[in-house]
Amino acid sequence: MTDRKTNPAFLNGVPELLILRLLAARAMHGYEIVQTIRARTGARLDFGEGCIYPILHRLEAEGLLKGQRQMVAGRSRVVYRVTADGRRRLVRIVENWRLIAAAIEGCLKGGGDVRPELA
Amino acid sequence: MSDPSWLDELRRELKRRRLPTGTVERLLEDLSDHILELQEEQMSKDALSSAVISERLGSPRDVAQAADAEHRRRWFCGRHPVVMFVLLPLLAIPLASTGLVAGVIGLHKAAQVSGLSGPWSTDQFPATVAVMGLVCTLIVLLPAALTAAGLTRLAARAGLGRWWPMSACLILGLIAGASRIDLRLSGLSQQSSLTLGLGFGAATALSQVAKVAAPILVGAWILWRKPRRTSIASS
Repeated sequence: MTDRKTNPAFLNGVPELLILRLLAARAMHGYEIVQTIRARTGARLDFGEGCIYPILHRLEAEGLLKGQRQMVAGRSRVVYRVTADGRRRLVRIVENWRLIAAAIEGCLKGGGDVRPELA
Repeated sequence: MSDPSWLDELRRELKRRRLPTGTVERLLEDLSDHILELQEEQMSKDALSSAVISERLGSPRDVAQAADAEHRRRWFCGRHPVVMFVLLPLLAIPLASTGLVAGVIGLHKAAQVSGLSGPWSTDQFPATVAVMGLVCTLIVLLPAALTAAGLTRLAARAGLGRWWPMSACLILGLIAGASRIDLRLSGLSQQSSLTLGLGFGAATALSQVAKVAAPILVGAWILWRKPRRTSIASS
């Protein structure tokens, strides 16, 4: 990414996908989610860390996540875990994402075959 | 200890965007925790500077913008636009007009009971026939215009495009234009009448044109007067 603090709008739906995927594996607090995304993506999706919280709060309001303040490593933190609705949403998002990724990959692979016949 | 200036600036940005206090406080609480984690990560005993925090978290403006966009995505109208901008307009005018007609009749009855003999009695004051015609038009036109204004503002606030609110305004205009109410209030007992109708006649009255146009013009004015707000949902 050329712009280090990528606008979340540019990554429409990606943070949601990553958050649900990570939390489906285990409950995490906000800072841990950010660090895990950074580690797993090789810091390629390095959006502003502060933008993760509005997404978490919205997902929580939609009933896809549940946040609970609890003690973690001696400090009070809000730990988020995915709900059953969240898991169902994750399945749908992953399916869509794979379809889109496959479609784009198909276009990229076939890019060399394009001939401007009408040119 | 977190840097108060970055959080203060964020608080100002969030307040400027008129986000609810609960949403603002929750976000600031989470971000304060996050800044503490950053401080630990950097093994610093001093408060992190705003520049360092902005480098990691994003500028207060960016975070506020994201919070605003995500908040709008929570709105019911953003998730169920068909219900809000198609079904609700279909029901809004009949319900609101019924309420207003009931209100006018109630006032008339109250005036009769109190001995005022009904200030709108068309049999006693023939000049009030024209006034009652205007009242009957307003009974339909006002709910249509107000509902159009409300839905358009709601759509703008929720970051929806222009398509949904303008569809709602068009529906409101068509229903309002097709609605006919003729209310005649009499000072005599059992002599008042209320006629309700729906449909466009061959000869379109000026009041019908006004009823069709009012919600559409109100909606268009609100939408084109203000700059459109972008959102993740609409991008």
